Amino acid sequence: MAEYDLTAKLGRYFDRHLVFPLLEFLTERNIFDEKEILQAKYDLLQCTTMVDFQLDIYKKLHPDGIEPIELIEKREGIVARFNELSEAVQPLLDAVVTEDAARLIEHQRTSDSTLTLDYLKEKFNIERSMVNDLYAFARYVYDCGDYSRAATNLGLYRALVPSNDKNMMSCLWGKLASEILMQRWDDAYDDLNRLKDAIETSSTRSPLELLHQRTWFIHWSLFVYFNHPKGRDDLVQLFLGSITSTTNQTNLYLNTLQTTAPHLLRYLAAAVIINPRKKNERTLKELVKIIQQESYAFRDPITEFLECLYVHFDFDGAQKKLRDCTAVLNNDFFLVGCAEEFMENARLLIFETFCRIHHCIKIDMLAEKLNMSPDEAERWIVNLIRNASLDAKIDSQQGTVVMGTQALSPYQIIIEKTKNLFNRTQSLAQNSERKRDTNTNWSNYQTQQSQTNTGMVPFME
Amino acid sequence: MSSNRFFFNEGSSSSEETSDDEPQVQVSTAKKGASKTATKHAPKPYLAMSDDEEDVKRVVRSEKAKRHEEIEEIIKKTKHAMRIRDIGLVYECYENLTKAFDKARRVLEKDQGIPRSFIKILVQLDDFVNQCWGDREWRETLTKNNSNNLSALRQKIRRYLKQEPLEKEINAYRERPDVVDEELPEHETSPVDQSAESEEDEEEVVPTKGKPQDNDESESSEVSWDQSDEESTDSSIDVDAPNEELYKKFLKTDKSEKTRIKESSGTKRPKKPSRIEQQVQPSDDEDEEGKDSAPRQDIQKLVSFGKDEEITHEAILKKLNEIIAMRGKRGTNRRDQLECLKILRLYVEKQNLGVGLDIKILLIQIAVSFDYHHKGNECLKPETWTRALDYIEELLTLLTKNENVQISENISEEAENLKKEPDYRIHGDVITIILKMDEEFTKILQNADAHSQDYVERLKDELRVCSIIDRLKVYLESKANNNVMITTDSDSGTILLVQPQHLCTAYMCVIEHLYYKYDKPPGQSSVAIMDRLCKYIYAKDTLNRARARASLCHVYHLALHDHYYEARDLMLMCHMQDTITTSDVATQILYNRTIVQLGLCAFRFGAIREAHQALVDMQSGNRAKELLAQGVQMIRNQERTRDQEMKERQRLLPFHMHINLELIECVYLVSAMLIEIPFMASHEYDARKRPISKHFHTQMRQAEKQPVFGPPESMREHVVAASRAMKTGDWSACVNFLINEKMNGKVWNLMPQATEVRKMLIDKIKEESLRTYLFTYATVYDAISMATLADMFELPVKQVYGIISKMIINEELMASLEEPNQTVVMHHTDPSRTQALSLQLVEKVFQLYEQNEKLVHFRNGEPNFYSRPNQQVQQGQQRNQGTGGGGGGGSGQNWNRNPRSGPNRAY
Repeated sequence: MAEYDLTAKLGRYFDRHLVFPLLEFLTERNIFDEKEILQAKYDLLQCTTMVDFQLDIYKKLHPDGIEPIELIEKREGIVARFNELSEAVQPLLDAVVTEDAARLIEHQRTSDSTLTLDYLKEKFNIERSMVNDLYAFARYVYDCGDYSRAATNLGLYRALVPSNDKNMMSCLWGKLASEILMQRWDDAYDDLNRLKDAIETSSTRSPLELLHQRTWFIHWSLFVYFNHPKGRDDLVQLFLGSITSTTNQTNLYLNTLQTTAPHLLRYLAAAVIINPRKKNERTLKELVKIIQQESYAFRDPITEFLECLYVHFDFDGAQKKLRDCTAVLNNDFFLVGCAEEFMENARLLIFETFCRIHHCIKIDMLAEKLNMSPDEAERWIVNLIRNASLDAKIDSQQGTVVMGTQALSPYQIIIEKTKNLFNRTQSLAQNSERKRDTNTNWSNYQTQQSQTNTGMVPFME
Repeated sequence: MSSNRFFFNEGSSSSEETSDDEPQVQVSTAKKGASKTATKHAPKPYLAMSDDEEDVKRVVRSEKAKRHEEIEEIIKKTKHAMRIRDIGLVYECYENLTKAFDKARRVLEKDQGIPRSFIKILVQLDDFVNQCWGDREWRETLTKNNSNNLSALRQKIRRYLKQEPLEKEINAYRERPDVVDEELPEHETSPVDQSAESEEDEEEVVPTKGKPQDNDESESSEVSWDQSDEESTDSSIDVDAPNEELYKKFLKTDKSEKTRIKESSGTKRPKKPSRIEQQVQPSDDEDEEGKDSAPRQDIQKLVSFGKDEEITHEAILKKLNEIIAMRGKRGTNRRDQLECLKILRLYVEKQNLGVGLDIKILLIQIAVSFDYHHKGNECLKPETWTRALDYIEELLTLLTKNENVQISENISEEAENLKKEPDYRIHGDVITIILKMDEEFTKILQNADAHSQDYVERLKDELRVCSIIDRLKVYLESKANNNVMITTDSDSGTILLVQPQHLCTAYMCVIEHLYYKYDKPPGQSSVAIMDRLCKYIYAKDTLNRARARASLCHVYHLALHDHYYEARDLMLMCHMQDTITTSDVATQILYNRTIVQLGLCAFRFGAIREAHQALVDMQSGNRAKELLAQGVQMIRNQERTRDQEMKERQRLLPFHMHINLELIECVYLVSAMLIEIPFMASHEYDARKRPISKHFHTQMRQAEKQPVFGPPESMREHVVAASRAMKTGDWSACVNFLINEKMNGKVWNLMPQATEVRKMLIDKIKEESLRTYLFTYATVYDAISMATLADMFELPVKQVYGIISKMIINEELMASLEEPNQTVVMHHTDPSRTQALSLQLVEKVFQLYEQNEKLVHFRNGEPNFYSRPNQQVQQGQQRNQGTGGGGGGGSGQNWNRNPRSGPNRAY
């Protein structure tokens, strides 16, 4: 299954610390050599300050080796630096836990931060530079792997500095990473949205920089979107949102995905499939289009499944791909949690499409296509019919499902089409009347309007 | 070269014999434009000539003669009028004169000159008017009418003489008005000129001059005509006089000229151009070079050193500077200069004065060879060209061999170091030289007849040019990699010898020569090279133009090599569509070429819709030729000025870079057919029919007008016939019409992947035919077995299944499949006549509604707009997709409409 593994691709866009969970996951899955993974972890840690962890791994890698000297030395340095930094910020930390300050900060969240700073300065003699120390400290703590403390400190920092601070972006990223690593998804979700706003509102960045930021954003967001209950909806919204809405502007994140990270299509596709059908009829179409466009850049069983189903209408192929999908899903860090859901929905997709095309289907064949036993399939269909999402009947003598006729007669078409015309015309008339007050040139229009109405109404009835 | 000249001289008139200065082809091509219009006015020559080229020239000549006569006539009248001081008449004559001259100007300017007589009469008129104006008393006596005339005339003449080319001529004339009559000093040696001149009246014969801006350059090839002139006028050579005679006459001239040269060559030195000197100057004649083999004394003198004189750097430099000073002066002979330089180099070599000086001289040699023939737009003669190439190659060899030579335009002339020391520092710019060379090469190719052997000969040099550019690239790269620094004389201190911008320019040069060439698989190394070079430019270039051009070339190259996705993405990413309308014409042409190539690539790839979209703008309006700069298109009712035409000609691409126009059109039409025919079949009942491709419809309509359908001949007829077959779902006939011997030869074999393309095409035709068949005949079926359909269209059942499923899903076909017995069951919902009409009515009502809605939302419209809403509706119906092909030559915005979300896919 290694061929479909995206860890290497994804890892490039993550923070070092964020890669650990992925590597942990891979170790469990046993698709790569354990030694290799350990080595990768070791290399990862090289630039962090988590020496103890590194030493552990080193021991695992070389069971009978001696602990490398430089690591031991490094540890001492790290401890010294940690003490130094924590001393520097201690006054500030002490200050903010006092009741007044805490309340003030709580209060200040949204408005101007200078007030708080002034207050702190006045009362506790805390300088601006100390706030910067706080940032450095948080960063250091994060590197040491103490994410919860990093998150708190960064939260504090964010509250204390104005939003155009030069470290603000890093602070937001750091906060998000900490929350993710702490697996506090609700907080992470909030941070993610805040980060998104920050990226979009900043106007000073060059397009290239923006592209980088967005690329990171869509990668990091995977953690949140696949763990937060509302996440998958948001994921679809993020990429395909503007398509469903009426605004004509193109979606920036979709562009980013197409430009720098086509491999994320897997997650987008999975999210769309899992999402409830009715809402995203159009997103599905759009997604298929994108998958086709990017098919040279990225393809895996999930995208191929959609392609088979909606481009080639090759149900056998889709069936095969679906089987591959299970393997992919089970080995994907982000998708493993929703494998079941995915399979269920994918099956429904196949069936739905099948029903739209066919008039009469053998249950046996259907069972085979859906990866179920005939009895199971029959039960499944019966359930669907009972829940009224399907207009069909089962002919048990011949073992077929017969669809209800869907063809519309011309009468129906005409009625369908003209159904809301009356209302629309009326609102139009109202609109124009409102406009007439300001514009004297409407007399001509009015006559024409009435013609429309008289022409319309009898016809409808 | 000599063989070439023979080739052309055969059967051509004698006048050409003497004018060996220019290759004849060029003359004729230059004249072609004029001659077309000329034929309308001028009488046909009564001496029939077999040679077409000759014919053209003949006509021109008589046109010219006619103009001249006209002018002369008026001049005579004017003179008379001046003599009798009839202001009214003078005024009238003046008006006529300027008009006649304007008419004649086009012809005259071809020969780059204004008739001397014209100048003279202008000066006389000017004098006359001034004199009259000064004579206050006489003026009093004039009638009111006449005095008005006089003041008007005065104003007009003044203004007229102020005009740019005239002013100079007038001044020149005023400086030495009388010389003209006896001794015609300057003369161009173009054939047309001679003959025309011989028809001039005896008094003033046309001396000609180059375009004012390159005055000094044009004089290089002046020939004295004082002797021959007499003869030619005496015998009054007519245009249609027997060629023999004329030929001899000119031969004689040549000889006499040569003797004169020999006589004077001992005494005169070319350093000081005097009037006599000019006569001595031979034209840059190749024949002469052969015969006149003995090195000339004056040259020797100029560059020779006395026996006791020590040859040092300084001495050589001094001589060199003398030669440089001569450069560009009137009357300098470039051949002599080259000779001098050659001798100087010999000295340098003999005395071992070091490579620095050698290169210095070489640089000048190159520069001189490039202005060897510099008159307006003329190109270098092959011989000079080859020599220049030799020099450049030598220069590059020297530069690569001698690591210690630094050459840069950032080194000022004062800071040069040519002496024998470790570091030579030379002022000069190799890149500019190479660019100049490239430019000249394009000119040469533009001027050669694309279908002649000559073109092939010239094109062979492409290899050399490419290798030179390549060597330059390697040289610059090695310098850049070593980070060679130079100190400039300014305060800025040291800078890199080769700056990124230099490399970009060099790379761009390589790219321009590479991008249109097809690299046969499996190597495909050129794609990698392009990729590297272009990426460097994207990263390092500071000029947007180079970057834009590089990306276009990149896309072109990728498309050429069937990297469809990459090409498409790059095209979308570079956002050229938004800015192309504001960029220069050359880039627009490149853009058009790129889009076309992308379209062809899409077609080969099987992306029919995209191919259609890309090509539609090129085909609509029938301007493909012009938009791709592959020929000048004559547009009816549109006169072009000479200037415009000249510019357009300069833009034209050399023939070997052309994209086959028939191929483009065929691909376009076939794509249109594949899209349009099923569309038409499915929308038979639609109230408003929107043609997807207008061009295709025009073709179809034209074919329908034919009373009888014969077997197709042209490519278009084939496509039309195929379309008719497809309409009835007859796919095999359709395939036969499109893919057969004729079409293979005309179109398909032009693609390197012809077999695959044909296969793809057959598949597409089958598929679309099936769709068309279903659309058209669904009404007569109740149910149809998929196996039968698969049989009919020779498609696998699975594919038929897929196609039909897609149609059902898209609600194009009202049917559903019956899985157990593999049939398609039609739902007969096809409306009856009444129903169809009511459906149409519904649609129209909707249109009405939509229009109303638009009107309501229309904010700041003028009252007129509201008063006729019905008309608006109609217009809305008829409105089609934009006609495209907007002016200037750049369009193709259709890529904007690509469904893919484009913006912000920045690098």
